[in-house]
Amino acid sequence: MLNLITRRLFFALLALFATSVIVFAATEVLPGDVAQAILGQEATPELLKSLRQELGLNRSPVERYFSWLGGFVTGDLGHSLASKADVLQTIKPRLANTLALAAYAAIVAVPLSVLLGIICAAYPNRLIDRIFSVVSVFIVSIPEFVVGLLLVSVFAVQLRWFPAVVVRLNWSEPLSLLVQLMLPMLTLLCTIVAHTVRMTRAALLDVLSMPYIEMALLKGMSRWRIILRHGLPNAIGPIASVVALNLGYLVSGVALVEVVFAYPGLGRLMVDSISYRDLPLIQATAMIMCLMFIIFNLIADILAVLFKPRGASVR
Amino acid sequence: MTSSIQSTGTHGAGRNVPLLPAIGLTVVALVVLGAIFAPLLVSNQPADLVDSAYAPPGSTLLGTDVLGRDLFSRLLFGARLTLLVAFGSTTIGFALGCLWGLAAAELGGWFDDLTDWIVNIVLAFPPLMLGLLLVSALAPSLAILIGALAAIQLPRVVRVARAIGQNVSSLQFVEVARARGEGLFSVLYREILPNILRPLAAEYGLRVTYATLFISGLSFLGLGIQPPDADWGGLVRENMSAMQIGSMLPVLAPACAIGVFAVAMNLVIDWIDESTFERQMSND
Repeated sequence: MLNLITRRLFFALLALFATSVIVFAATEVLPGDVAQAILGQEATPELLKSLRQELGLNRSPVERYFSWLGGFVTGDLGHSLASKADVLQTIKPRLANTLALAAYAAIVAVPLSVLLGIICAAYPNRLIDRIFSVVSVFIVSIPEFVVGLLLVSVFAVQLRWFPAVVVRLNWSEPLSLLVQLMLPMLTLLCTIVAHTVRMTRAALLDVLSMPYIEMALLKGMSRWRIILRHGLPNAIGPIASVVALNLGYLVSGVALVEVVFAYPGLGRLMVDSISYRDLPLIQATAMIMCLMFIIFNLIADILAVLFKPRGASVR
Repeated sequence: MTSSIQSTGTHGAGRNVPLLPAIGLTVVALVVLGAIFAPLLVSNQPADLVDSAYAPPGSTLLGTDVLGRDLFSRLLFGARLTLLVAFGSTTIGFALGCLWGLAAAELGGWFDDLTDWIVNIVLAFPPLMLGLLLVSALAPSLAILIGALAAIQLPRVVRVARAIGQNVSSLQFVEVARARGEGLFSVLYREILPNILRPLAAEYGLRVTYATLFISGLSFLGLGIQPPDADWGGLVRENMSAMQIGSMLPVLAPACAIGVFAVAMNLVIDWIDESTFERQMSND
């Protein structure tokens, strides 16, 4: 078991290293000269030369990669090309906003979907299970930005219950903040609930098919007692693992939802910085999002290994 | 042998397709036909200005878009671009991925280990990030978008093809074929491929759906297909301002096109192979 965990850790570290190389390489091969892009067509050769010197562009790519990585590890993310602002200071509030939204969605979604999953597993192939199975096909298929737009058209444009865009987060009033973030939260909710319910149901049904459950049934235990006492505790591993996977998705895939709601989060910052070709910002936002994705994936893997029932083989 | 044997499950012959997959198949067929025959079906060219901006339906079937172009016409031509990227990239990624994955399963050894490593590392990368980085590094032309999407699909296909191949290649008739002296490609093509067509077909459908959603998302972010051309995601993006004047149709029509097509595809896939769909839900 320890072996498996070290293996997963090793792959995560490897993935982190690969990530930094990919992020650096992808932004370095951008067409055109960065110094030229900043100064424009009329720049004098002297100006270009001094700016290249300043940005360290005359060093070899490998050298630049390691100095960039060193800076990243020590918290020096450089300065934005567009606004000249410190990247770390630019990113901090954006990251907080993204995490706040993800946390809000997770706090609502996780208990809700686990509960729904348990109900579906308790009544497999009965009406409620079938209804949810069909509904989940629909929800899983529709991309999150379309879900977001549908929610906006109903709850913001028609009913006027919630705001359609979130330009600034109102931190001073927590209650109105919850209302303000309602539509983006619901959008994220839709995209993760269907996954989690299906997987919770599958994990629980897996456990419920074991001989000791039949034994409990023959002893005359009630359905819910069997599920809560014998089923659920043994299905915790896969369920926790799915939850962690979805949290990773929440923090790394929110860019589309953030753009729909003009939400000032990390994902939209990255999309904006790509359109402005703001290299330090692209690198930093991409690294942080990949980092969070990899960490949550690692947690999911480790949970799956830790809670794996004895004797079962790992996929 | 006897006619009294009943088919179990939903995977019967084509003539008794259940209701939901039948609806899915019909919708997919209509969308594909609409895309192919788009030039014959529209009365206005997608780039022509025909009316004022955001004119309601009337002279044109769905009204007009942000610049006063025929929305229905743009929707059909948008379907062409969306499907071209989705099917094009999936076909390339799928062909290469299947070959790679099946070869890894059949050859084993260091090649298989290396494949496992590469796939594990790339899959640890959030796909949207990979897409964003690829298009930010290379200018978003149609060919580059198709290539980038094929590359993103590749490791997923390799993993699935490898797993399926491993299951089949340990079966007896494959061992026999190998003992008979059949070469790698002969074993892959004649022994393994015929036995894995159903899960592979489902996987192909799944990847097409994934590519559709992915290119729509990229274009919605403004980083996919560039104006004046627009795929479905691009249409949503360019008509977003319609919402401010309370007119939802120019935004919802392309948005719903994406959703309806994806739902229809998944209904069909779920019918072809249920386990494939379950897997999509677990690792998307």
